[in-house]
Amino acid sequence: MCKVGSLWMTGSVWLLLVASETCPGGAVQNVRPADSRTSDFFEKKIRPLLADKCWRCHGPLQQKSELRLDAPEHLAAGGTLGTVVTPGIPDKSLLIQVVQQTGKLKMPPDEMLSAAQVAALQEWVRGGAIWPTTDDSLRPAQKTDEALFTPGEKAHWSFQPIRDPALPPVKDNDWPTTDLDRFILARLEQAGLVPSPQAGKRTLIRRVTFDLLGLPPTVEEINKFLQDESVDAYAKLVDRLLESPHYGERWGQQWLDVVRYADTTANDGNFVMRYAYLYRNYVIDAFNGDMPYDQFVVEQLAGDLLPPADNLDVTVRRHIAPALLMLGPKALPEADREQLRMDIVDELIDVTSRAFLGLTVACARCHDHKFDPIPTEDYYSLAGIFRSLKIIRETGHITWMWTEHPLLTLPGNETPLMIMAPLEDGGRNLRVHLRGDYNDLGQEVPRRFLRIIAGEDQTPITTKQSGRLELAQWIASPTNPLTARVMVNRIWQGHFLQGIVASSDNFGKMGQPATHPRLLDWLASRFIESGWSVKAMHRLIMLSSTYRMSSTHLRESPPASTTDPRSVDPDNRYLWRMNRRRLEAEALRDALLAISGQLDRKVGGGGEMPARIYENGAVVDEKAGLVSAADVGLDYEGYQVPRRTIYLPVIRNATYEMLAMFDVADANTVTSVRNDTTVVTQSMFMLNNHFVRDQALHLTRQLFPEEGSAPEPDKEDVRSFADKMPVEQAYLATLGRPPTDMEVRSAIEYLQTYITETSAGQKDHVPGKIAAWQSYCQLLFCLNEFLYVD
Amino acid sequence: MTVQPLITSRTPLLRREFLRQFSSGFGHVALTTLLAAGDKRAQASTVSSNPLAARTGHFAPRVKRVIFLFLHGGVSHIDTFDPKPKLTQLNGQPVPIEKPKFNFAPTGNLLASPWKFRKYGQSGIEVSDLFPQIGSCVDDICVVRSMQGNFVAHGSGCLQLHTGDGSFMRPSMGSWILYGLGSENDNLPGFLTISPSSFHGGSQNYGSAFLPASYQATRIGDGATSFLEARMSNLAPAETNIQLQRRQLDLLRQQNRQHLERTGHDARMEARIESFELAFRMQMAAPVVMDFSDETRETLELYGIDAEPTDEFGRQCLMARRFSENGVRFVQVSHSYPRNYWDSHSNLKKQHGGNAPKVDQPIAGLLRDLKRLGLWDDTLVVCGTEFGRTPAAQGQNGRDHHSHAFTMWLAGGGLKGGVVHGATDELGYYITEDRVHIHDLHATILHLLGLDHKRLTYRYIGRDFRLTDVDGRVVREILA
Repeated sequence: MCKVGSLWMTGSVWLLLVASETCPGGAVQNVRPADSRTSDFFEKKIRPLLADKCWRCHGPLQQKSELRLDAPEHLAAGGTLGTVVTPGIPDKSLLIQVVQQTGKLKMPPDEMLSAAQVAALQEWVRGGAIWPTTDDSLRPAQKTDEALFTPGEKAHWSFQPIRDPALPPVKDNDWPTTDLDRFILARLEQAGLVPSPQAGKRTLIRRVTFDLLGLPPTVEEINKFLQDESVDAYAKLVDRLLESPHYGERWGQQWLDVVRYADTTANDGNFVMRYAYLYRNYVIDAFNGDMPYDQFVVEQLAGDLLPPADNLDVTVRRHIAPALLMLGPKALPEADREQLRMDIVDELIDVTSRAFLGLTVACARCHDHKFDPIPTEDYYSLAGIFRSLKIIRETGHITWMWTEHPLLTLPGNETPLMIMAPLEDGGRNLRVHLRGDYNDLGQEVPRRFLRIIAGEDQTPITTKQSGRLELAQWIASPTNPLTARVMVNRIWQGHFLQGIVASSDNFGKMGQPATHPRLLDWLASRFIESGWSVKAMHRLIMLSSTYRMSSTHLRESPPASTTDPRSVDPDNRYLWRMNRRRLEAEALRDALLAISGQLDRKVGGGGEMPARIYENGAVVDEKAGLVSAADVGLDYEGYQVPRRTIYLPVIRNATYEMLAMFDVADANTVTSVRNDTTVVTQSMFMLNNHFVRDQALHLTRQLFPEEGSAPEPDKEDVRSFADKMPVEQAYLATLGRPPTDMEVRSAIEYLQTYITETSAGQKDHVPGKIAAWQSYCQLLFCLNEFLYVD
Repeated sequence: MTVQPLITSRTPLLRREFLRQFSSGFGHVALTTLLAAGDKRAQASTVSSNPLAARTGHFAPRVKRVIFLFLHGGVSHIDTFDPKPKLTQLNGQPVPIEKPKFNFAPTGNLLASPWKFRKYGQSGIEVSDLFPQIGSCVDDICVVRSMQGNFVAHGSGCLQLHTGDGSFMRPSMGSWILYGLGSENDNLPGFLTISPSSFHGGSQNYGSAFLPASYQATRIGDGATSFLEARMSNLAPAETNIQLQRRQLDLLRQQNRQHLERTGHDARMEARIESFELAFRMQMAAPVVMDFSDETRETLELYGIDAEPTDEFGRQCLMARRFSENGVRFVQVSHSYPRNYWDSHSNLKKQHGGNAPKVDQPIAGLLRDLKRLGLWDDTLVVCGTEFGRTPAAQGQNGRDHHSHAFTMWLAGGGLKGGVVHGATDELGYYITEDRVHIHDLHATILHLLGLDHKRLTYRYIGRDFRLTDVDGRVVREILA
């Protein structure tokens, strides 16, 4: 993740010095003559010069005349014309003769070095052509004599194989409904804590419906559940929700957060990736269809490389899935093309390692990982895989475009299906980039997996392909100690808002330790055993007593002997109660639209919205199909479409303000845990934004289907007034419960006062009544009880 | 309320109407009291869980707040603050030195500046005829002619200037500062950005990235909207009169309190109850700051308000001063794309020549105003751009992007005035003295605010991040 701080310095300092020396006039005296024997001289003047002018033909890729000039031993060895440097004597050095271009052999071909550059080379040879070894702290240590990893590094918990643990004994055998509960209860008992009572049915249906669908239960659904007194009423509820097509929209979003999904490239042009939505729909479908997670991993990294499928849908799906590798923010247009390529590679290493493995491998770009046993060689082993892909289109001085291509023509269509997908570009190994600088190369490393997990004597990848299929299969293996643990932890976090490992994308040394390590392994074992079924994990978790606990801090009659859990475990790390969920940005917006009756519940599609930005955006290159969304404002009309939020376009750097203020994931990077901030802009939004006001008005209209017929509040009989009035209906719709008598009374008083004030003297002032109800419905939307789900 | 109590109530009648409704809805609390009450400088410091609570930095600050004037698109250094007679002499000739390895667009031969440079003030610092008004303030300014960034495209360049990094997501400078110091006024945002562009990094340039959302900027207007129509989102009360909204909030508060009693303590829910009250106060206080009717004609003229072409940017600068004097920690004013753009790939003379007169008087007015109001010593003004422009011509008469050397200037408390720091070669291509990288600029800004850029860190994905990454040096040479 660390940006290459020194990278540019190397290049720039060199340019600066060379430029100054050749600059006509006074600037030159600012440059002190450098001692050509120093490392500084070599690093600033010679290495960049060789890298820039010589290595293309005399380097790692080509060795014309069998000459390499990228390492001291190669320099000393010379080529077919013999030695090229005679240390101390420039005039007798072939290298100097050819760059002076006075003889027959002229180098570099078609170009002449500047006088200053030739002088620098002469100076260097005169000084002995000293090629200093790079600073040891920067060059990866050659650990020949000692082991690559220390025993301590190898012993880190998350690198150990997953073991299926025995169920822990508990004192209270009545509380657990499932085996999972034993792990939780054992830990609570150990801490002297007692689990909270089970939540009531109203609380439960609101909890599970938001949890699985991101939507509120309807009044009918609530009543049906309340009336169902069968033993398995709750299990049936969970099953019904898991079968809903809206489930994939909810849990798919959590995955889209992790893989930084967006419809535009960010940065300079913020170009529209018009086929990205196919990937979004792929994710929704994968969750709805309970695609085995191991298969999900493989398809996203290398679906296109799998053997041909007999089914057209499967073929299409597998070619859409690797768009994961295309979705990242890109610094287009960047003139330094190799820098751009390596930044894209870095982003891919970051996403894949954090998403699937819970490791921050990208930290090893410039140096060995500071905390985890990830040598920088291992970074470049993975980088070789991703560098073997074509992601950007290689055209022109500046590239603006990424790879898109027609896949096949679906039956009934006239034009082929276009996809955004990486192209294989021939498997290649990389050399270690010292300090992350592609001009400064160390030893070549084979493409292979992280050695701390896959071992030090693994067989390197030598195929003509990139190796991403092999990488995918290694990640998706049941013996990979991280993959299953990381995913079950994400699922757990989705339900309880806090992972067993709280740092859900960092299982390394700097990550949080697991609160229930054995439970994590037990869940991971069940996950693999179930065929990596995500829905099976939901059932396992949601049917437990643990999940069904109340979220409140207050106990009706706390057992006298027990400790107050708030003092022992204020952060609820041991789960003595359920965590209270603040509706996420999407759930808040979708719930408001659902309650107001405005929500368009259509599943899938959604390509029309990126298409519309595409139509409206500024055309940058018609032939390439390149359109910029940069002038799409934060109030883009596409955000006003009443579809579920997951279908709204994700425009990087112009995120819909409502979502941004409620902590939506920033699509510029991996988001594993959303923030939960309370800021004043949220309250201003709830009070003053037309979207909230509009939904309050729509709800009012629903409460009074005959427009403009809000009845006069009757002061005489509060109960009968409440019967007549839709206060109860409004409460059920927003909070999932009927109001108390007191709440009804305050509602009526509020409405009466409002109407009196706004319709002074006008007895049947309908707009006044509508406005009063709109104001009251908005108030309900502003309640904490609405925003926080118990 | 039929009135939009927003930016500039240029019609006194509307303003009076607003004040009438405002005061009737808010009873005895006078507007100025509201602002003063929010101003924590007047209060004893209290320990608070509020993430925006004012706090002290690592050492005694030289200034309390920052106004950052951002001229978007790449202002040419060699046509403004970095005179190059040699360039005039070699006009039309090939570039005699090696051009940078990476550039955005191809360039040709050298192009002389179409503007004359003049010496100003006691210091005799040369400023081109693009900025005569700023030139007349030059004795109060520290010109840095040796700025350097790493990126040749606007997006990366803007992101690096605002966040320290052009490639990866990082919090913006204002967010870091708010995170470090908190806000001085409870009733106003702590970090404000006026007319930012949605291009070239867009909201990332004022976003909080992985810092909590409390530290992101509040936005007024955007680069595509005339400042006369600029709004702060959701500031205008939705209820038709303020008393109705007050009553709505009262019942809301009551029901939220009852709910809290049923569920037990929850810091988030308690904070949210308070945040509705704060929203109410802010929607009262911010329009007062945004209303210029208590400014004298003389002040308006100082900023070039009600005159063309200075009216719009003059208003932006005056608004920055008003928020700044009310305790807003970091205010950014952008002269930005697409309505204003310094990116002169062709016809430099027309493009720079059209932009400069819009900002010259307003910026000079801001500097003079800060001085006469006694705000100078506590305020840091930074004026700059994402990169400079090439000494060689692009096409006939334009200049390409150039991040290897460019100019920014700083003024205000804790700084030397009337000095030039750093130098470029005779053509303006490369730095020859005292390089100031963007990381160094950031380190210096934090230093002036009493923050050590190496200690202002935030842990994210297992690593401590800072504004200056692994770099940055305080430019002590320019400190007073």
